[in-house]
Amino acid sequence: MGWDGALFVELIGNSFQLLWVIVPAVLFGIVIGALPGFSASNTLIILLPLTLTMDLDVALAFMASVYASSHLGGGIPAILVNMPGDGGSVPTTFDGYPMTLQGKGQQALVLCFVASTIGGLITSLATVALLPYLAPLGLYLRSVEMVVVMVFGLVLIAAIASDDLLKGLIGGFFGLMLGLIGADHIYSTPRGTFGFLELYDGVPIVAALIGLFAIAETFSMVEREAIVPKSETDIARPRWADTIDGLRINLKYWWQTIWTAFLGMLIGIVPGAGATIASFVAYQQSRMFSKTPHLYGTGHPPGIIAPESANNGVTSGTLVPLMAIGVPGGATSAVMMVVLQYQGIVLGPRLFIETPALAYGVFFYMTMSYAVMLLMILPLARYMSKVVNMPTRIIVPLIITLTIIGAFANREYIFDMWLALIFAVLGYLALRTGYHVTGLLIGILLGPLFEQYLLRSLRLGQGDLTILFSSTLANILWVLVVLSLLLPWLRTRQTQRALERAGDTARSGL
Amino acid sequence: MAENNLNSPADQPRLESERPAVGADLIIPGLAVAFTTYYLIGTASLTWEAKANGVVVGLLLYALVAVQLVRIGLRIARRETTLGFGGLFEMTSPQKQRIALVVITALFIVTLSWVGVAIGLFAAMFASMWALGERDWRSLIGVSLGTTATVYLLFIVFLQLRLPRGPVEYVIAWLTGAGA
Repeated sequence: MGWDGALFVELIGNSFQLLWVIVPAVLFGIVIGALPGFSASNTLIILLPLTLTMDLDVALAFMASVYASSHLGGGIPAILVNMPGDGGSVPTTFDGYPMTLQGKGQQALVLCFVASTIGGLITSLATVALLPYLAPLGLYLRSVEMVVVMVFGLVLIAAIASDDLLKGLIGGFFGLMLGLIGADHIYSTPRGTFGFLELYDGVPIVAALIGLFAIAETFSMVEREAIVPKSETDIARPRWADTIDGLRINLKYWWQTIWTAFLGMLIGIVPGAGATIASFVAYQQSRMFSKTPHLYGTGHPPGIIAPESANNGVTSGTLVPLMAIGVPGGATSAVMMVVLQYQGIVLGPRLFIETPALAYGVFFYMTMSYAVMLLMILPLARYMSKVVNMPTRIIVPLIITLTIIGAFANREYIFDMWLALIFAVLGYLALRTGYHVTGLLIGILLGPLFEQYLLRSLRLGQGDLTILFSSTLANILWVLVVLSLLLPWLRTRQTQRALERAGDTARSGL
Repeated sequence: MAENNLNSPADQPRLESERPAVGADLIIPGLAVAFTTYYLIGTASLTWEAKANGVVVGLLLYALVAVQLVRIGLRIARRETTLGFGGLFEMTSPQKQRIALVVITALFIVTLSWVGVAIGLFAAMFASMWALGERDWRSLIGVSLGTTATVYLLFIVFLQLRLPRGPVEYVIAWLTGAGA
């Protein structure tokens, strides 16, 4: 599977020829990504009849561009109104929104855009080069290891998102419990559905996301005149100086962009892991290795760069198992699989031998779409940041009505609108009492996957829970879980002791 | 020595009104325990495959809530905190606006099937803005109309979403064929 120079030149030429579809697809993807309820996967499903009629190259370029740019779009509302466009941009809210509140919304958007595009660009290039060697990585994680990965993810999120680890864990496990609502995987018996047929497929993620984040946040917003009052900021007129300042900060943290992008790519290769886990792991790792971990959550630039770079690194990683072994890494790649199969393409290792232009082409189109994004987004950032000056008496009704319709859009059930409203009240109570909504959401998101992998493991072990400690890799991951629980606790105790010592010294001085 | 310590303001037992209220901290654990109990009772008679996850996750959740209860109990025993709800349910002006928003959204959802998305959305936007204190008629009508038109074009005409149709949608479809 060596590289062919002529093929390389041909693919670059193809990417330029397909700019006519890549440019509008990128714009479309950014808008879709910014709307909660419209993920790349369900938009591609809606547009499936259209993509099936396109030439295969055009369809792939269109899908790859929408997919990549929607990941970038998700960061826009996360930064401006604390409302993630998708699960992968949830950690972006931790530092993005505080930056907006400090009047640095434009810089935060530039950080997000540049980290996303550079992260996506370098990983898509790296994927092209490393594709034959990366593909088998996803095969090392079996159900036992996946259970531990899920627990690890939940513990990380509890530790990151909440000031209080115990509250974070309660939120996460409550979410996991809600994620178990629905018919069981083997006998299809409904569980915890309160008799609602609409819950047989489980809790709809989009309704939960919209309620817990978007609407719950608007309930807090009503206490302010605007998200950021004009008097407190100087961004009434968009300024290139702020854009350049954002670029300067990006440049300062260039290494952060690169390593978190590769982290995202590696996580993307694991089927089912996806952008949400990647962005959380990247945020946590970035904070762990930082010299200033206490600044995270207060509007610290690496807190935006790490998750955004990682969730765009995922995009190319997710396509690796699809192309190399025929297993879709996520919902969007599953839609791509449908289109490819419709066109008679057999996915798997032979794809690279029989139709290399197609197999590698997807990654070239993705690279081109990231290059297009880089040129488009910087001017956009100047105007988008003005949203935060809008009075809350206008923006709050806008967010509520548009997102409630977004809740309907996913499955076209009025029931999902009710669910979004119920989750909004739950989210508001969680926000006010310090139970971070992120833990709840990630629990709901991971619940069905967790059940699937735990059940598979238990069946393999004939009901014996010790199977979860039967592999070396899983045991290493368990140790990491314990460390993730202990380290924040030890750090808090250390800080408390230091404060007590400082207090004693001050008193003895008096 | 003990007297000296009590002279320090930080060490004096605080008055009940000064102590932070943590009763609200029990709302989410209370909901979690209630749901878990409902789930476990509902799945008790199912095969082990159907209830295994609920039992594993539910028992862990019970344990975490128990730790939280013990922690809060100890703080109450040390007279550091009270079981009140603080300002969470206080009827302040923003609280009334929040309740109004929930009621308007609920009415929007209830009436959506009969009046269609255009009338429902316009009314919900108008009422929500009014509830939040907007009194400029141009803004009230302009923003409500603009939002409704955008939603109609984007969701119904372009994305072909099957949002509930009402008189306005049927008239537009009859006149133009759009969103039919």
